[in-house]
Amino acid sequence: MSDYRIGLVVEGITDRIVIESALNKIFADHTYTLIQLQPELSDGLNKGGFGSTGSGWGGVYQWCRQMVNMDITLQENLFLQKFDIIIIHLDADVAEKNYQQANIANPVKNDLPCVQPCPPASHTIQALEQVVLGWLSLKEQLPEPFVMCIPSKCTEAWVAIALYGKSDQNILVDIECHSNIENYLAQKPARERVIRNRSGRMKKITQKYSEKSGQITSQWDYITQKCHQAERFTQHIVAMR
Amino acid sequence: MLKKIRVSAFKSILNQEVSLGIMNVFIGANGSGKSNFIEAIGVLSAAAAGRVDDEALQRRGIRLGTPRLYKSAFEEKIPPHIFFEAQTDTAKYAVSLNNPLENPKPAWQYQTEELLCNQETIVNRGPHREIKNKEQGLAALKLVESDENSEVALLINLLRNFAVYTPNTPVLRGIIPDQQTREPIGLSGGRLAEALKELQSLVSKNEFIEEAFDDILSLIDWINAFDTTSNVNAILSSSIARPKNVIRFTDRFMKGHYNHLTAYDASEGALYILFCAVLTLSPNSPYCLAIDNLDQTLNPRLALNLTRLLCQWIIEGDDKRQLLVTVHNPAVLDGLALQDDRIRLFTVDRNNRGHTEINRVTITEEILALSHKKGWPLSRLWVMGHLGGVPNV
Repeated sequence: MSDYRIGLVVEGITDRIVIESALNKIFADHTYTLIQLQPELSDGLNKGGFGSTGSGWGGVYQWCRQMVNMDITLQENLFLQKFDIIIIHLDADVAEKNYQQANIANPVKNDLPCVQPCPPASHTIQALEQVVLGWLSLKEQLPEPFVMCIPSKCTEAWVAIALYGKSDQNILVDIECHSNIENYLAQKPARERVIRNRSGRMKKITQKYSEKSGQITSQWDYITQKCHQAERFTQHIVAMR
Repeated sequence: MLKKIRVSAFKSILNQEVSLGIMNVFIGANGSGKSNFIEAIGVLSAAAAGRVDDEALQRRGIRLGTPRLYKSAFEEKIPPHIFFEAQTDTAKYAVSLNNPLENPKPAWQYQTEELLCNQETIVNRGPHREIKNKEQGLAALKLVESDENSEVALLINLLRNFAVYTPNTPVLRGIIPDQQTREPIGLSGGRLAEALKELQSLVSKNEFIEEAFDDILSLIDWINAFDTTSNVNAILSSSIARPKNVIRFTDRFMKGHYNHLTAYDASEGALYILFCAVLTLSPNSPYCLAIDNLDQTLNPRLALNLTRLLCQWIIEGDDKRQLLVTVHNPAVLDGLALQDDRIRLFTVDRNNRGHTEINRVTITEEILALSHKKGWPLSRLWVMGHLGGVPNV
C-alpha cells in the first residue's frame, strides 16, 4: 500500500500532470496514490446533460459547494477521511474572472474578480484564498488535510520555469505576475510546444505535458526558488508528510 | 473458499495481498490492474493443475503473454520470478515461476512450490532441489495420493477449476463458437442454452433454483417466460446455423404464436443475465470463478438488481461458491450490502510508480449511518472519487 493517499481537486488534466510532477519530487522516496476528486455534474441538461465534470475553475467551485451541500463539516466528513492530503488547485488568474464566465449563476458571494495589483502576487493569492474559503463556507483557514495549491498566474508559470527558466532569464522577471505565460509557451517552436494557439484558442497538449513531467520533477527545486507559490505549496505538503 | 491471495512481480502488481470474501467486486480505472489480479489467480490455478503453459492459461481465460509482459517491468529492482499464493482457513499453496525473457520456453518452470496444511508441509520445492522436470508441479502430483475431501485436495481443486469468464454477445447468441468450452458454460458464454436446460431441469427438485428462476424473470421486464427448445423452425431464420438447443423467450407484448424469440434475436442484456445466473447457480460451475466486466451491456438499474441477486444466490446457495467480478458501472455498488463481511468491494488504483494497489472499501457503521442520513449512495461517492478506483481524467 502506498505511503500516502492524496485527493486532488484540480482545474484540468494538464494542471494535474504538473502537480503530480511536483509531488514526485516532494515525496521522493515515498509512494503515493493520487485520486482526482470531482463534482457530480451539476449543470443540469446543459451540453446534453453530460458535460465534462470537474474541468476548469468552475469545477473546483462546484466541488467545494457539493462538499458544503453534503451538510457535514470537512473535518467530520468520513467520506474524505481516507485521504492523507487533499489538494485544492486553482490558478491565481481566476481572481481576474467573474462567476458568469463559469456559468455560475448564484455564487455564494459575489466576490470575484478579486485581483490585486501585482507585484506582489501575494495580495491576489490572499484574496483568492478567502474566496475559496467562502466556497467551502469556512471563515478562517482550511482544516487538515486540505492544502491549497494556487500557482500564479497559472500552472504554466511553473512549466515555463522548468523548461526555459535557465535559458531565458527574462521570463523569470515577475513571472508570478505574468499574464501571458500561456502565449509565451505557445510561441515556442512546434516540436517543443506544450500549448498550441489555434486562432486565439489555447489548446494545452496533454501528451507534451506528460513528456515534460520528468523535467518538471527534476527542476522542481529550481522552480521553488523562482516561484513563491511553488515554494509555499511544497512547504505545505512537507508539513503534512 | 479462498481467504487470501498474494501476488508479486506479476504484470502491474508488484506486491499485493488481498483478503477475499464470498462476493468480491473490483472497481478501478481502465488499466488499473483489475484483470491482472484475477488473471494472477488464473496463473496460480494452472500451477496448481501441474503445468503453466499457453494451453493451460487459455483454458482458464487468461490473456496470453510473453514473460516480458507477465513479469513486472518497473524501474526498481524486481524479483526475478512471478509469485502467487492462495490460502484457505487451513491450507496454503504458494508458487514462484520463471521463464527466461530471451528465448522463453513453452512452459513456465517452477522455482519454488509450497503446499501446507495446518502448518504441516505437504510439498516443499526449492530452486536447488534435484527435480529433473521443472515444468511439472508437485502439488498436482501429490493430489493423486490425497483424500478428495482433505483440506489440501479442496484447496488444489478449488484453484485448478478456477476460470475467468468474459461473456461476449456473438457467442451468447450462438453466432460464433466458444473457444474455451466448459461445463456448464464456456468462458465466453458458449453452451448457454444447454446450461440453462440443465439448470431448468432442477427447478422441480430444488426450491432455491425455482425461486432464482423467478428472480431472473423479474429482471427481464419484456418477457413473461423463458425456456429452451430444440424445435426452432418457426422462430429462427433458416440462414442461421442450428444449434441442438436454443433459448426461447416469450415476449409479453406480442400476441400468441408470434411472441417467441431466440437468443439470436433477444436483447443482449437478457443473455448476460442468464449467463451470470447459470454460472452462479449451476452445480457444475467452478466453486471459485471470476467474471470480467460483469456489467457490460446492462442498463444501470439492471446492473444494480443483478448484483443484488448474485450476492443473494452465492450467499444463500448450497454450493458455497466464491465469485470475483470486475465492474465499471457505479450502479453495481448500490447493489452491494457491504455491511455483510462476506460481500467485499475493492478499489484498484495505480500509485505514482505505476504499481497496482488493491484496497478494500470498508464501510463502518458511522459511514453507513452518514450515507443513509445524507442520502449519499456509494455510486455517487465513487464517481466523485471519494472511494478511489477512478481514472484521473
